[in-house]
Amino acid sequence: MSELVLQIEDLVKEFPVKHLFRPDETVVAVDHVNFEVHRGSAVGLVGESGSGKSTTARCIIRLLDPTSGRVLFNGEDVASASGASLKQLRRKMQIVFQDPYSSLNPRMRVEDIISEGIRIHHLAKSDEQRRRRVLELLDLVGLEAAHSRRKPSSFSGGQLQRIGIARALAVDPDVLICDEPVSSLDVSIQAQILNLFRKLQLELNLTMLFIAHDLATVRHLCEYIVVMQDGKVVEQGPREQIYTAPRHPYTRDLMAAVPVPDPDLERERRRARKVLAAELAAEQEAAAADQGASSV
Amino acid sequence: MTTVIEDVSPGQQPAAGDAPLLDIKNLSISFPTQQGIVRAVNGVRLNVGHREKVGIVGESGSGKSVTALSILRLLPTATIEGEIWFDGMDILQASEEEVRAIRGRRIGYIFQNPLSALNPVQTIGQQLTEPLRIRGVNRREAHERGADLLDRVGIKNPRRRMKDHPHQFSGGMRQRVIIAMALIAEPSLVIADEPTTALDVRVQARVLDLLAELAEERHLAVLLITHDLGILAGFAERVVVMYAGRPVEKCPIDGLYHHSIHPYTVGLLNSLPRLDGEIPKTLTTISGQPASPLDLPPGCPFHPRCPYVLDRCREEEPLLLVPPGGPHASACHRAEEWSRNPGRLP
Repeated sequence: MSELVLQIEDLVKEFPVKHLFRPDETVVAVDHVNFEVHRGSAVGLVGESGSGKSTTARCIIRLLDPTSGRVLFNGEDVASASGASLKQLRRKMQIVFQDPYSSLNPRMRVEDIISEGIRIHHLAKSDEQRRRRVLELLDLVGLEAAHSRRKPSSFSGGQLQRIGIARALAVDPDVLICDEPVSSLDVSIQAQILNLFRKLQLELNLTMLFIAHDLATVRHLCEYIVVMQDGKVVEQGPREQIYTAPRHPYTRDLMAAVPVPDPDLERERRRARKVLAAELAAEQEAAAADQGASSV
Repeated sequence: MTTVIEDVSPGQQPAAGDAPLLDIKNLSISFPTQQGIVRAVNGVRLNVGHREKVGIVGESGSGKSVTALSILRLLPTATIEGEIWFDGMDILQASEEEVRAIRGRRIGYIFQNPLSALNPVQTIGQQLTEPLRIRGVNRREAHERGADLLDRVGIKNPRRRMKDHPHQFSGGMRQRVIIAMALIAEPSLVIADEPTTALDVRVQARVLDLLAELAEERHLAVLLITHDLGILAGFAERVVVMYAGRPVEKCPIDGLYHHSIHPYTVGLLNSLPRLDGEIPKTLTTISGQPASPLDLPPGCPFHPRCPYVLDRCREEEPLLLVPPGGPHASACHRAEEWSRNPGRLP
């Protein structure tokens, strides 16, 4: 087995919710989550909105402090990092955000956006070297040198996401965390960006944590899948297992719901969904009855 | 010229005397902008029969939503040319009063964002029954019918929930309320503009399955606008693919997925990651970006992205025609070749 880059151990993140007229509550956004990421692998973190997948990612890069549990990065607890070690940590783990329109500074030129990290972490010996690195990165993500002088407003969504990826790669990270990186793009552009990720995986031996709600996208890129629901990991395993023999009813339900671009198949799936929905409802009813019985 | 100047293949032509419910003829829509006049839609022809489910699929800027909005004349600043016939009435020539009588009553509209389509300070019951109240149905009966419909769209405790406000519903439940609102006045046509884009995938499946069931049950025609070839496959019977404001392929649903004869559609289908089958090393992509209506190339608007481009494509815009021996209409100069090799040109 290859080296472990990330170990998420019993991670919990709670948020306080204050009410005006009712007692305050706690929402458990991430509920005892465990999984690991090996060097050079791509792990998919899937779930619907509110499942805690983005909060988990934010705890990993310490944009949020976990309530309890640990995140080990290269064997070290990220919670204990401070000062210089935190700065290093932030360099080694980079994130690509969902919405490239809001995550890039509209007043900065592309060159400055990409080279900001290089400057902050003193990764280039001279201005000349830095500029060369920016051009290399632009080429790597499929943009042209001439683009470096322009500002984000003159780019399309797909191009902006390429800039966001170049920015993340500029500081030579160990792990790239991608939070729904293609879901705001047009269909014909999504494939271009997915191919770029695939190329980066192969060329740079990149370690990726890929967060998405779209199971088809995740299947394409990730060899290990973690499925989350309501803050908990309900199932995790290698791609083949999750996609061909999902064990948890939630995963099965999720798979059944993904629309497939094939009319015959989709008509069949609709019938199957009906059956599954009835089964789930029966299960829930049975569970509720059990609970009712035990609480008496 | 051997091509047939008609984009409806023989089998699809409605029988005489059986006029389509909605008939859009040569629709063009343009907007004045600071950069000049923008032609968002150009020459759309489309009909929807009684009880038929038709899809319009396209990416951003394809003109699909603008087409939908024009059917209810909800584009005050636009210049609209062409004809939109709904059940014997030309909507574009009708008076404001006549159009108001159709909106929400004969044609229901389901908007994309279920939160912004609801009034946050009115109860669900008030909003849901408004179309009935305007028609003069008395309060008690409107309330009864509203609650029954909420029950039908899968909202538990419908009578109690009538008194709740929109923020007390989840996204999926709100979209169910919106569907109920679109259906309450018993329209004959429902336009659903990206009805599930804001929803999670499991909720999306349930909402679409519900819409299909209701359409069946209430003899509704549905016009579904979407960017998602997946949801279209399970829902529509016929489909129009739009690109840069133009219809580029028009066919029965199975034809689109099994023997498409337009390079854009073929490209879109090939670029989708799949849930089944072998995982390709790279996805086949369509290069470049969707054409912007602000800056259309000459000739075929798809030619800068088309791997099968000919010189002719750069100069002359192809018409939407059924090519000789072809299965359905395609706006491509090479449609006849495509017909012999559906899905891939040699």
